[in-house]
This record gives sequence, C-alpha cells and structure tokens, in this order.
Amino acid sequence: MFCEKYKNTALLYLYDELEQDVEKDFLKHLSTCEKCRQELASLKTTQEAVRSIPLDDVESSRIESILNKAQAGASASEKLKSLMNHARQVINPMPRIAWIGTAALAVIFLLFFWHISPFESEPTMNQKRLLQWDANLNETIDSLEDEMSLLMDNGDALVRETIDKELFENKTEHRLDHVRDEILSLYKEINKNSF
Amino acid sequence: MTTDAELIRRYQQGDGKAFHVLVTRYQRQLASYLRRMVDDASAADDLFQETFYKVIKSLPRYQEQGTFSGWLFGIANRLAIDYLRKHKRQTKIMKPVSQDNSGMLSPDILDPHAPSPEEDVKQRELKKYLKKAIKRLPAEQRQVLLLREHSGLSFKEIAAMLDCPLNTVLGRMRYALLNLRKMATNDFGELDNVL
Repeated sequence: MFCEKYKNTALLYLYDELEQDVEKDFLKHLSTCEKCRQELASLKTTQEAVRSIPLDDVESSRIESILNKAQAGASASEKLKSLMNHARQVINPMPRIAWIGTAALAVIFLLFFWHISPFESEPTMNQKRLLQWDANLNETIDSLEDEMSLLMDNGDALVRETIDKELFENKTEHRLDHVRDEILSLYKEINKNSF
Repeated sequence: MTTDAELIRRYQQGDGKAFHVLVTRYQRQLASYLRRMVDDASAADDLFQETFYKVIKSLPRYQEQGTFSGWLFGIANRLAIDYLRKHKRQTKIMKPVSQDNSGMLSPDILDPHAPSPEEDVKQRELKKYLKKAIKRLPAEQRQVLLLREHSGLSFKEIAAMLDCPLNTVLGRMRYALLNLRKMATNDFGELDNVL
C-alpha cells in the first residue's frame, strides 16, 4: 500500500505524467520508502502485463465494410436532412400559427372570390398558384417518400436507425406519414372550398 | 508522419485518402477499446461503425479543440457507455479491492529476461487471461484503463472527457490495476512469476 500522500502521484509517475518538481519530490520519497517502492513495482508489473496484450486485429475487409456502411449512413443522413429542409420550406414557410391563419384567410378569400368571379371556368391567379403549390407539394412529398423507402429498403439496421434518429434530432414533430396526412387534409379542405 | 490535424484539413478539402489514413491510424486501438469495453464483438463492431458514422458526419465541420484522438475516443466512449446502460447484464463483476489486499511484490521482476518456451506459453496464456479479466472489471474502472491504454489521452484529458475530478480517474485506474492483479493472482498465479 502506498503512503496516502503518494498514491495518485505514483500512478502519474508510472504513466509519465508527473510534473518535474513533483517527480523530484516523489523520487526522493521513493529512495527512503520501501513500501512505496514495492507498490510501484507491483503497479508497473500489472501495467506491463496489460500493455503486453496485443491489440485486436481487425480484418481490412471488415473495416472497409464497416466504413462503407458508416459512409452510407452519413450520406443517408445528409440526404434526409436536405430533404427534410426542402419539405419544411414547402410545408412550413412561416410560423405555424401564421400559416394556419393565412390558410384560413385564403379559404375565406377564395370562397368569396369563387362566388363573385365572372371567370368561373378559368382558375384565377391565386388558384393557379395554389394548384401549382399543391402539385409541387405532392411532388416533394412523393419524392421524399421514395427516397425514404429506398433508404429504408437498401440501408441496413444502422441506416434505418439513423433515419429515425435524424427525424427526432431535427425536432420533427411528426413522422413523415403524419406530416403528409396533415398537409394533404389541410389542402383538401382549401381545395374543396375553392375549386 | 502527417499530423491528424493536417489529415483532417486535407479531408475537409476533399482528399478522401486522408480520411483512410486517419482511420488506419486509429482503427486497431478503437476496435480493441470497444471490444474490451462492451464484451460483445458484434456489438463492438456496430459501435465502431456508429463512431465512424458520427465522425464522417461531423468531420466536414470539425474544428480542432484538443486532439482528434480525444474527440474520436470521446464519441466511442459515449456510445459504449450508452450501450452498456441499455444492455445491463448480470456479468461477474469484481468487488473493488481494498488497498489492504493489494499484495506485496518484489521489484526484481522488472528485470528483463528472455522467456523459455514454457514461460512463453504461460505468458501467452496470461495475455489471454488478462484480456478476459479486463472485461470483468467494473465498467468505470475498465473505461479509464482502456481509455488510458488505447486512446493516448492523459489522465487529465480523460478526466475532462468524463467530466470528473482527476483524483477520481486516478483512483479508478489504480483500482483497475489492483483488481486485475488480484484476479490474475487468484485465477492464474503470480504475475511476477510469469512476466
């Protein structure tokens, strides 16, 4: 057993992390303390024994495969992030409350416009914009879903787990299918009233 | 030898080979660390993959604060600890040894000598034994021991990584070595006679 004062010092000495002045003091102590010398020798033997254990060999093909999967996971994550950003831009271009308010106003406006428009057979500019937006949105969601299912189908467990994690790490409130349902139902509501 | 920082800079500028050099530099230490931490080769491989997945994801934005090795092992360590928390198993864990049980050693074992064939066999057995014995250490002791031996981090850096006082880290390390010695002595015979 080390003298209480030197138990940590001895370990730092053994691992060559002792500051010079403290080392001097420790060596001075060692020269007079048989107990600490023996304890240090004991620690050193164990340290050497531990260091003599060879590192695990990892087959290079195994490393290659692991790295490829990690790379695939990272690419999937990047892709997903950019898809999510894209989706968010379409889905949530402004704060949610403002968005719902605007949608409600749009419904009222379109309902009103529907009844007074002299060109009922032709979509108005606003309607065209909404139609276009709607088409873009569907396209985005479709491509998002395609990409997602592709990643899910082709990726291994890690990729799938990664995708799951990303969805939550990015504070996505809902899973994609819910997002899709929610947006589409809102759009249907608007479209039902306006077209 | 090209420094880690230089390799990272080259990778950030689009040199994929630089990343492979970086991986090659640390793969064995990292794989050994994880395999000895979680005691399940397949889980360790998954954690290895996830570590590099996180590295690949973050490396483009990586800014050096401390060493790459510290960052790499920090990621691996968090993943290993998470894994151990999720997969708490009834493993045979050594009761931490008290200082009274540390045993007395003779310093003459530090003298190097070429082993005879019998000694050589015994030494190889000891290495295998210790590899298993490390996995039986309490997780906190195993963590510090493996980080110090495989990551190249100092105790001070490990303390910062684990966010705990240096003395705690040193205490865990000391008990790790004492416990290993105790196990080896109980189950295998005196280390001094083998090394």
